[in-house]
Amino acid sequence: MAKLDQALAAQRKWSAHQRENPSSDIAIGVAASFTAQPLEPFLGAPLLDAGVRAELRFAEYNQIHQVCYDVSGTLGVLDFFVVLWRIEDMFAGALERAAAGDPSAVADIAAAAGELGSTVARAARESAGSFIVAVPPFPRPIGVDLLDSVVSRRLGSAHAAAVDAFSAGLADTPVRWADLNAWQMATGIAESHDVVKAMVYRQPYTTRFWHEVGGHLADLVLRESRPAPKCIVLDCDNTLWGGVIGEDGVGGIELGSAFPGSAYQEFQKVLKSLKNRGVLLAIASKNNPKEVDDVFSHHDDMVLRAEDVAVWRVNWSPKSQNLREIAAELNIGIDSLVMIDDSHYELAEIGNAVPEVGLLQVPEEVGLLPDLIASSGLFRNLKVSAEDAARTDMIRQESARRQLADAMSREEFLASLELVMDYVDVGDEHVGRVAQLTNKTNQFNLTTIRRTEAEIRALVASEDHLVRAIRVADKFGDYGLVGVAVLERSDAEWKVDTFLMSCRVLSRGIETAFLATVVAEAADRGPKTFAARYVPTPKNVLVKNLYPEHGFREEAPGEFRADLSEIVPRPEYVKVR
Amino acid sequence: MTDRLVEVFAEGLRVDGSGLSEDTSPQNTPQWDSLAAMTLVALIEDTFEVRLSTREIMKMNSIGAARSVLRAKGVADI
Repeated sequence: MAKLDQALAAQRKWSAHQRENPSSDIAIGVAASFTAQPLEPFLGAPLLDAGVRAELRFAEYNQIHQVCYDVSGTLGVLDFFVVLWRIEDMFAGALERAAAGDPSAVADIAAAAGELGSTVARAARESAGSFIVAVPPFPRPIGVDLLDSVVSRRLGSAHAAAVDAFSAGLADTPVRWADLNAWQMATGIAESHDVVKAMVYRQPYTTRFWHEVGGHLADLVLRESRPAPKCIVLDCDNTLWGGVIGEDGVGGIELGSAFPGSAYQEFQKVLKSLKNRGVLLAIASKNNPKEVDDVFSHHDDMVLRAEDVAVWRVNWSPKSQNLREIAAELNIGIDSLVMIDDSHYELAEIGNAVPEVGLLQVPEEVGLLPDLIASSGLFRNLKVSAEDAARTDMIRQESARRQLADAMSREEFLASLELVMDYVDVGDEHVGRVAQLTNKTNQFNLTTIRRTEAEIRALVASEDHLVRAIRVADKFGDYGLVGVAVLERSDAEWKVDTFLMSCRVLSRGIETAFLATVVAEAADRGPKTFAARYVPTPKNVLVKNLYPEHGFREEAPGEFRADLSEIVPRPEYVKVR
Repeated sequence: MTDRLVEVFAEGLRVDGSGLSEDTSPQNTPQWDSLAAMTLVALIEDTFEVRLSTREIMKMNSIGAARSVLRAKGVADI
């Protein structure tokens, strides 16, 4: 929807609400140096969207001092009091002199702005409600050419002096800042201002800008009742660096001063600076701990180091479970976690199991990654204490790890994915991809036997072998051909020569469905037993227990056997074709 | 067909559209005060994608008059 259509929709929503249901949950008072009533629908509607019915009460324009001397007497008892002001309204004469080059004008503006700050501070101390106070915007006096560099520099000095003095006047009074200056910068002065309406109604802004201001103010109001995010939980592969550490190795990942590695490095700098401001960092990644540890300890281009991370969860458990554990270990609410991950699947799993967690997805365009957190606004106006800033260290020293029961219904989530697995008899058209998988797959690979296309072709043609593959899809998309099984058959027994799956589809129960389907095929075709091997490599510890977990007996180290009278049960949520 | 201009006035005045007519004016409508007038101008401009001059605004002293002003500006579908 275009911006203006959104604004009109907000207006319609608010108008309908006012006609039908004028009761309210909170009262918001507004005192402004200009006519501010156009704000009402644009602040009211986003609050309604968040389930908060607000009543807005406006003071007469340009009466900020008078209202501040008796806020509740003028506007009644308020939950929030918003003060919006502009230098060109409050100190018009001094600003004209400043624009004309009068050297004493800037000091006059500073004195007046400081006094205004003290007035607002006193009112805030005496009132029960929360104060939301403007940073005055860069002035745009009517009749002045802002592109005249002499004038613009003079206005700039006056503006800077006013902002500093006003903040100093407020001192350490706890207020939230309505940063009209930043919002006006983001929209642009020309797009924000309507000179005719300023002349006719003393109302300086366009609908588009009011809509913008209303949205930001609604955020500030809602933030009061919403917990601030305290901890960023990070995935590793394709989030902290480009590539997959389990496949590409420490030397093969993208991370460094040249693009695209630079995007990951810049992103890490953002994370480090948030950490230095007291935000906790945690890792939740499906990887082998040793490989992640290698990157943190040995990759020269890492900005983040192990000591920056408060809690580690590098394992193959569902991420939602890891997030619950991280929140418990840090002793913070799960709703103060923000998860950053590249995987649609992982974010959906978290969103389903722990919907309170904030989610940010790594953008497709890696060049946008460094801006991800800033543009989300999640850590905007972060309040920092010295204790917060030291927190990571305190927590890291706490060695005890608490284990949490996994309370979530994982089956329900997996069922909602609508997983489909196609069981394929490998033919000529699959040979290229099958050979590629035998060569590239490290983690979920039971025997790690590498093969050329010619070798695969020979196996397909062989009477004594069966080559099977799976294609997997879910409601988010098609993963393609992702698993291979090579079976050696005789009348009495089938043996698994190769069993592998791409890590793209791990932890969805696909491995069980695949194994169950292979075993079921064998059971149909005569042999009494089914044998399998696990050949350990530095990378495939993940599948060490695959066979015992599926009811196979370990007859010698790494040698497994199952009776085909006991078929491996197939997970109900995977549809097999 | 719904009358878009009457809808805009109903929204701006926060009243039910069925009570509005071409003769609705500030004199016979207490909700049509100076703040509502300001809101109505912005709503008309944004809805019909026109820019009203201050002289045109001054002529809009009833719904019928507002319709004439918009027609004279060549706005269709009002």
